[in-house]
Amino acid sequence: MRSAIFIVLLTWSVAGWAFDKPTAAFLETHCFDCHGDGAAKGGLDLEKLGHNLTDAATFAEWEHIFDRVTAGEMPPAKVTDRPEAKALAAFRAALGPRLVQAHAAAKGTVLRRLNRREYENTMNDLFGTALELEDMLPEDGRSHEFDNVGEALGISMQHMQLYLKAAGVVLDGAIAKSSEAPASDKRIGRYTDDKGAASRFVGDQWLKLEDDSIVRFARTGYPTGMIRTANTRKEGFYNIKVKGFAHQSDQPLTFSVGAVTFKRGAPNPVFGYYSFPPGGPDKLHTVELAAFIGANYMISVEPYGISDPDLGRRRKEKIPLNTVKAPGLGVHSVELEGPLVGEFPSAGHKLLFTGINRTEIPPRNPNDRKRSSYKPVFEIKSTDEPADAEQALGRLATAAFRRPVDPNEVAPYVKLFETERAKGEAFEPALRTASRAILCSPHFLFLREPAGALDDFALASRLSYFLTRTAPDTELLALAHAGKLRPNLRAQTERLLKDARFGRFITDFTEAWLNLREMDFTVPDRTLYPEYEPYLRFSMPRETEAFLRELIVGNHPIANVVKSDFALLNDRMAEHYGIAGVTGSKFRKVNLPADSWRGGFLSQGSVLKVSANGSTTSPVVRGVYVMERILGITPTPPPPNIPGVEPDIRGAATLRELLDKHRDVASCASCHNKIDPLGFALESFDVIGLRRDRFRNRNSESERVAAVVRGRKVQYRLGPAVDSSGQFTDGSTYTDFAAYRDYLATNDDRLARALAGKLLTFATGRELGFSDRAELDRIVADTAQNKHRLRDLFHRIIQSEIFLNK
Amino acid sequence: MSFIATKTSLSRRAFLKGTGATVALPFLSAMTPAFAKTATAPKRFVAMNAGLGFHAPNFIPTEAGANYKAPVYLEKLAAHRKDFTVFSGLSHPNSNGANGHTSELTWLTSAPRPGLAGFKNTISLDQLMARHIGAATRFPSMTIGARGSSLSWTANGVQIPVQMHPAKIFRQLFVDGTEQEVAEELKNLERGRSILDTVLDDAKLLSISLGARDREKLDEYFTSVRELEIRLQQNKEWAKRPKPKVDYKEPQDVADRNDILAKQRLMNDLTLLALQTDSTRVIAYSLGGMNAVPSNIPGVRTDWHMLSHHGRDEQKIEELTRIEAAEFAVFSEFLTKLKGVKEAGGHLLDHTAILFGSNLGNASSHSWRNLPILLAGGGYKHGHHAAHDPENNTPFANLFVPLAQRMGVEIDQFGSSTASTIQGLES
Repeated sequence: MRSAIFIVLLTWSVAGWAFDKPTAAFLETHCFDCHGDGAAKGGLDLEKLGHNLTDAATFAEWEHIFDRVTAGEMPPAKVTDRPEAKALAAFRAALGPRLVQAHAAAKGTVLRRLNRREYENTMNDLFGTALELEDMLPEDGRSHEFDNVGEALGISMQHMQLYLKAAGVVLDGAIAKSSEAPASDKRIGRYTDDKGAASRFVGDQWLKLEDDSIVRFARTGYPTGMIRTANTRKEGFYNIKVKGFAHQSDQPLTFSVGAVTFKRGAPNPVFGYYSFPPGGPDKLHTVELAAFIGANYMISVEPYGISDPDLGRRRKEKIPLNTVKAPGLGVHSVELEGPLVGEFPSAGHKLLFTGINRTEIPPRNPNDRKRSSYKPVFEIKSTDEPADAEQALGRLATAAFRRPVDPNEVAPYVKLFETERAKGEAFEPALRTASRAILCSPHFLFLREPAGALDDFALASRLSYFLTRTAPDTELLALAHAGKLRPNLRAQTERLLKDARFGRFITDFTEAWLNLREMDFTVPDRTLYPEYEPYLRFSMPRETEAFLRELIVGNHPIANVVKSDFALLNDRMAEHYGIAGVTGSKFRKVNLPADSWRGGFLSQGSVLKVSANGSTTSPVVRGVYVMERILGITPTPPPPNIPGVEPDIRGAATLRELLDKHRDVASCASCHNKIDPLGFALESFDVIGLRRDRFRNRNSESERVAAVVRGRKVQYRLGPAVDSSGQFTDGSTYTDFAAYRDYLATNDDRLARALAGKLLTFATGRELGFSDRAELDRIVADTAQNKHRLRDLFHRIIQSEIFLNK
Repeated sequence: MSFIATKTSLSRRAFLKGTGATVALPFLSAMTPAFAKTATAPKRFVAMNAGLGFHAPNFIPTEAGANYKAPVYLEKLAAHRKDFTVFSGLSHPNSNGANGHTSELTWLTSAPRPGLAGFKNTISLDQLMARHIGAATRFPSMTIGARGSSLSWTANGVQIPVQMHPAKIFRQLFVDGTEQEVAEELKNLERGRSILDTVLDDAKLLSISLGARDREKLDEYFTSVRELEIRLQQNKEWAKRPKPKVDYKEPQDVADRNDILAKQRLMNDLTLLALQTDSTRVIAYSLGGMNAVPSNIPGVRTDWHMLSHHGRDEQKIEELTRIEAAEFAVFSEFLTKLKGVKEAGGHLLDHTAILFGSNLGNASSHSWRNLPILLAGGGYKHGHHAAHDPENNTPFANLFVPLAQRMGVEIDQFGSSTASTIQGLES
């Protein structure tokens, strides 16, 4: 301790810019030629940097200096006067602990607001509602790729205003509006119900079979696949059963199920893609799904991947439709049931009204109840209002605050109830107002974690928000209550990994880690990439999600992140990758041919799409992507005043050639020598993840292509050849993607460390830093013997110091 | 014509040329006291940003000064040549961000390194002005846009949600609720205040048990609650007064989501109505951009975002030019309409400074330097191209300082500004 004080005092005796003598001596000797005495190469002037390590940017700069010097990258290789080992060690010993200390003092998850998706999940899970609340709230701030980092999650007046509103919306949704569960409507719709349509289309585009099933041979703009009598009256969740079959086909046929409306400007959503095996009226198959549908929508079923090129000729030559021998999609009927009423009354209703006498006021005219416009009015009869309110608000606060609540803590809310009553509000509105207050309280909106080791309730919340993205369930809370969560952490982790809500983790984590939230940031150029269509768009992120899930559930080694001998595919992704024998829309594990470049995240369509724009790829952008997300190294941003390289797709020069000029500049080279080799190999994949040897362009002087995509001749031309070779900073080279990923796969410690860091950032809601390096080292060492298998890695990080402490 | 004129002398059907839309002046009862007392028209500010950039060669003249030859886009504004100044060579320093479009986050704030480690946004120009204006208008500011991105940020770096639905905006501005609805709204505002009082007390208790950094976060919560309390009180006062009446048919949202020009026109109309009725004096409008083909623009058949990444492909630049020129044509209509609204001491454009441009200097390479910017109206002397150094850009925020000062905000520095005046801004 004494020496620490001594060092601090020393700081002031050294020239103002450095911390201490050893650091100053080292930097003056080895760095000042370029970064001192007025020189500021790469934008770094050590004398102007300052040493306020509580400032994030200053700290980041010092950390960067430490890393580059200790890695031997600075001074640069061309400097022949290398620092001696002793001097390096002294530098390391002086600056390292200082950075650890500064970081350790500042780390710890900052009081973390629920982000808007966590807010939606939490509300819906507590109240048994299925409301879309996320879009009501302002977009959350991000720290790197994550939008659940406490530091970056601000709160504003606008938030409070919307929280007030959203709480009202949730209570409206949860509180019963009738005495009995509202009946859900069930209707069965068939194409032939619409007599007008049937008379127009049967025999022309609709083949009517003996049981009135309708077979369509192509997806057409008119008539569409909508079924007018399978329609909704009210907004809500519906159960949809589609009965049908693949007609004249020995393979399953894929189709989409969606909803359409005539309402102006309203979206027409697709709920998913499904397949029917071969069959017929005597052999019907059923696909069942649940979806949230607005009022006055009709279900629409559209075949995928079949076409009817002879329609024009048939019409002209009056050839009957039943002579067509091509496969068609047969649809017997669509059954629509809803709006579904889950639990009645809802979980939220019970939280508020259990033990409270809430009854419907009978209408003056009992026949009113039969009217569709009838809205029941309720009253509450209470003999001890404060006691009833305290019960209700206590229950709500306990659920909302995710821990036991002291009566003193409920008191202000009970008082609010009483004040409202005194103002003349009825019992129920007064209770609603107090309930909204609880849902706007910081105890609900923030995940509070006391300093040091997490208590059992904070731990329950951390685990729950990590793996299921919502408040802890009763089992976690019961264990926390009994003080038994820590010994059961492994078992609880196993349980949550199998929970249906773990799907939320998969989606949210891939959206952040692999940036899949930006799937629609650009839409690929239709001329250059005619293969891109809605089903491919739909399938891409689902492949990635299915693959991550398999890595975890199947406990596969970390090397699979970049290289695996299997993929999770449906028919569309298999077609995209040129892999035969995969039929139907379900994702399943497929063993890949030995020479396949697929397998691993880097050659997945989704990843290749989000790391490109709609028309061009950049090895730099993809290199940064791999470096940050897969290797866990954040590249420093380009120094100020360096213009970007403007892509030129006219066909003459490839972006790589344009970049080569850029890389020749020394100040660019130091970073680009690391970044670019991580991206060059991915040049073998275009913006939608197809393999390529040559760049596509629309230059009329480039070579024509004879290919046909979905019945249409392609318009793009083929330009220069792709150069996907590269050299890593350690001197090793690769000629193609296969060799590149072999190289990445061998360094599985690096892969494990990176993924562990990402998972821990997502789990704890804070960026890891300098003082976490030692624990990350231990995590990597502990999982190394068994190839850093993913489920093992989950357990290890959940048992880590980083996870168990604030 | 004086704005404080008696009801009978008010021209209640000021017809706007070339638009077909008629806009009437508000009833006196809805005017703000501040407005009525001064008898001069208030100063307004509008910021409009194109998130996908404007193709710079079509925007920025080659020549500096008053005798520049108008490039394609400025030709569309020929009728207003004396009413705007083109600025080139401006940018916010150090705007390398998390991705190519993050400079949009800081267009009105100038905070460095958008989206990178340790990034926290700062107050946007419009919000600084809004804070100054406070309760003088029904809405201290409006943040509107064609899509989800917003230009407005609070002092603690939180993005203010953007309002995207014209129909809803119109109702908020001009359609009074029934007596019962107004009573319910007042009651609700009252409930809101009671709720805030309660949670504030609760948060104070919580604060005691927190460490220093957690307490900083909770302070943001306190600030949010207190600001909302004030706002709800103001809203209550405004809720008691009838909204201004305008002679404009209650609009529906544009049915075709890709009809960007119809959307822009409608938002412009609402902007004009909101300013004219003094419902607000500050509007931040994100013109948007999208991954789809804009409809109703002849010769355009390619996705807009894609076109912005033209990669120097002539055909793409040609299509992109069609889109952006059409946007300029609609902007020109807007300026015409503003000029058609006469107020004390001139017309509405004289009293409205419009900052129009983009956060991208070259969208194809995502460059945030050499931004295409023009400033229209606001009582400045216009008609020239203020050319700043394309190699060594002038901080864009240098322009923000005088714009804020014009609105009565007493600052001599904003964000990354290095001066409180800017070459080319002449009053």
